[in-house]
Amino acid sequence: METLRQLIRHRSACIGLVLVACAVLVAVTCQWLAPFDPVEQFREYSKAPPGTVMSGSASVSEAGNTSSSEARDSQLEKSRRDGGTTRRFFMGTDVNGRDILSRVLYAARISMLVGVVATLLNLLIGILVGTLAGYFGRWLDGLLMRITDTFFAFPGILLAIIILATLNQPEVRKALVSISGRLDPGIWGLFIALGLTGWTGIARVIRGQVLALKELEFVEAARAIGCGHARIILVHLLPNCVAPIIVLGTMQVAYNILSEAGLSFLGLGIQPPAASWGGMLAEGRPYLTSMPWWGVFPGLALALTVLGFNLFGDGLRDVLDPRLKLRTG
Amino acid sequence: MSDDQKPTGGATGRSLAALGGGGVSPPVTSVMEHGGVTPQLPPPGSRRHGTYRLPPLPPFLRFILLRLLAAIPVLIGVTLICFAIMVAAPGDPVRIIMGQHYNPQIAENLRVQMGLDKPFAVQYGLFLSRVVHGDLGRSYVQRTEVAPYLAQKFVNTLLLTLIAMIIAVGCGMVAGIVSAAWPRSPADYLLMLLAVAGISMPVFWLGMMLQLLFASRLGWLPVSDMSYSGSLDSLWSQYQSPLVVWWMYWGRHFVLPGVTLATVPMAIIARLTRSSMLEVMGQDYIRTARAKGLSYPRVVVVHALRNALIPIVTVIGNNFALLLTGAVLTETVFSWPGMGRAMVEAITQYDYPMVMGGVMLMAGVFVAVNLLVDMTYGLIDPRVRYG
Repeated sequence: METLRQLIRHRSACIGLVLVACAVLVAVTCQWLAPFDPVEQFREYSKAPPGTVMSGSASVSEAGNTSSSEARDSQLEKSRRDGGTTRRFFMGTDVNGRDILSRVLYAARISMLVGVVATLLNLLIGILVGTLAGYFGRWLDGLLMRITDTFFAFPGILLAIIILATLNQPEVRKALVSISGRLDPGIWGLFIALGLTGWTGIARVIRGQVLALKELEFVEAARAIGCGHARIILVHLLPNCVAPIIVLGTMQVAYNILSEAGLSFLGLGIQPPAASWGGMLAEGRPYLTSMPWWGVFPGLALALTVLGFNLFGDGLRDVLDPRLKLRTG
Repeated sequence: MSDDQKPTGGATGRSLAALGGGGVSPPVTSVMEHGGVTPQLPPPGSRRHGTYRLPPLPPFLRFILLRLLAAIPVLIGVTLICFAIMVAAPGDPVRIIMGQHYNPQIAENLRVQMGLDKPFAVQYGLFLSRVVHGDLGRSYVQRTEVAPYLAQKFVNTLLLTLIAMIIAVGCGMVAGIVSAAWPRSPADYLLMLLAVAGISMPVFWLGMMLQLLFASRLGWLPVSDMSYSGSLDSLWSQYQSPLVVWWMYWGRHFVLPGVTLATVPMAIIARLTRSSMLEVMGQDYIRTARAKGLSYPRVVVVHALRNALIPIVTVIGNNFALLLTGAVLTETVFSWPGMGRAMVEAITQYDYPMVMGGVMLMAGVFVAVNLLVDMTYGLIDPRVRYG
């Protein structure tokens, strides 16, 4: 309770929590929030700047071949006369006439999903490696830490790129379509690539924590009354590692969302026409001068989401485990 | 490697002990001193009996040697992971090389010639033996030797990274010091807000926004590329002054990518400098220094900063390596002919030799930079002992 009160008093943590809550809300409810279908193409409204109004009755099939600006004007006129419902492209449309707002909202779902699932994988591997290395020590510690070093020495997102390039081939994608539902099959590659690469920091922190904890008296007492290794680890050691796990996990979500966007930007993650922030930025890059809204809004959404997780993670760290400051910066 | 040598070391240790230690013939000692690890790993036998101790290497050299040895399994592990993923990948490099002129018969020959028909372990062994002989092989796609191609790309990335790192360390440390010197001041809040925005910034988006503002809208700086697209002579005739020509040809091309790449490490360094400094500022010796009547800036910079430097240097090292290797996105945005982009291209084109060479180079740089960082600890803090 005291922790909660401190967290509520922590201003940046609150801002972060609000941003995170918004992102989660959007991710869950995007199919109701989005004004349009994210992949539907309104050809006659392509390259429309933000705020362009679309008459409610217009659709691809109706407007057909008439030249775009004329069609737009006449339809606007018509809708004004009829007093019919009008819909706006609040963030404009892209070259194919897809509504950018809807795509930004739908992309939130992909980003959050990848961020959370990859982080859970990171935590699973990191905690497993960290506790085993710290608790059993000796050769197992040496071996596991060498493996951790090896993964850590892999430059940046390069390992993720290598894994993704393997998993993103047409044959693999085809095989994954059936289990992906309405999501892009590239999401599986992102789960695996990011899940397998971001766990080294967590493993090291948990190992350090376990190393320090296992010398304490309560562990000795637990052993004295006959607890097995598994019970000591699960009941006595891990609950004492919850603080760094929560803090590092929150920050890892931010990192994974950024990496997802970066990989999709390189064309390796989510493939267009599926909506993802990184993919949209890559598509919009050639049109940066003529259609800046295409490149601005997805990036803004991405930056704000990541900022939210980082602010919230900072707050959690200040409240739960300030010593992590020298690790997380 | 060291495991194989241990018993030999033990045996020699014991045999020397049997000689009585006094009559050691010069050739034996010299062999042992040049034998790498052997002298500084005390053989288990001799330790137990305590009859003879080999003269130890100076701790600093011993430390470097041990770290270099520890890097070998890391490098092997990195290449092994990379190799395993690529061999397991469904893509067929022969198909890539032959492109449209695919012919099953020739493809089969090529596969044999490239050793792709052999089992995984053999392929990896062949790769390792080539690397040990200093041969990284030929690129499947670029039709050149891997090593010179990568070297050229690497230099471009190194230039960009150095500039980014200078910006990041300079601005980041100043911001962190200011924040820590006046904690909870408006300046502190502002700087730390900027810093958290910085670590949350998608670098490629930042790059795009900088391009939009400074290149497209204001036209102050070039949008992309590493150097002026026209000829140097035309610039000379236009500007005469070497400095201006340098600026027009090279200098201004480095500004936007440098700033873009610097943002994230700058933010990290600023935050870490602040927390590390604040930790130190609470210590007794800072109060003593203040009580002596030293000025506040002097206490902050001389007494606090030096003691706060170790975690900062560690992070600088980590980030330098990460930058050098992770400049992929910045290079893509700014069409920079660097290592990161070359690697992404190579990976997506299944150019195995190129990928393996690049990964090894990057991992090697990572290990080397981290070793350098550890070596500077002793310079920063004389209390640090190696060994």
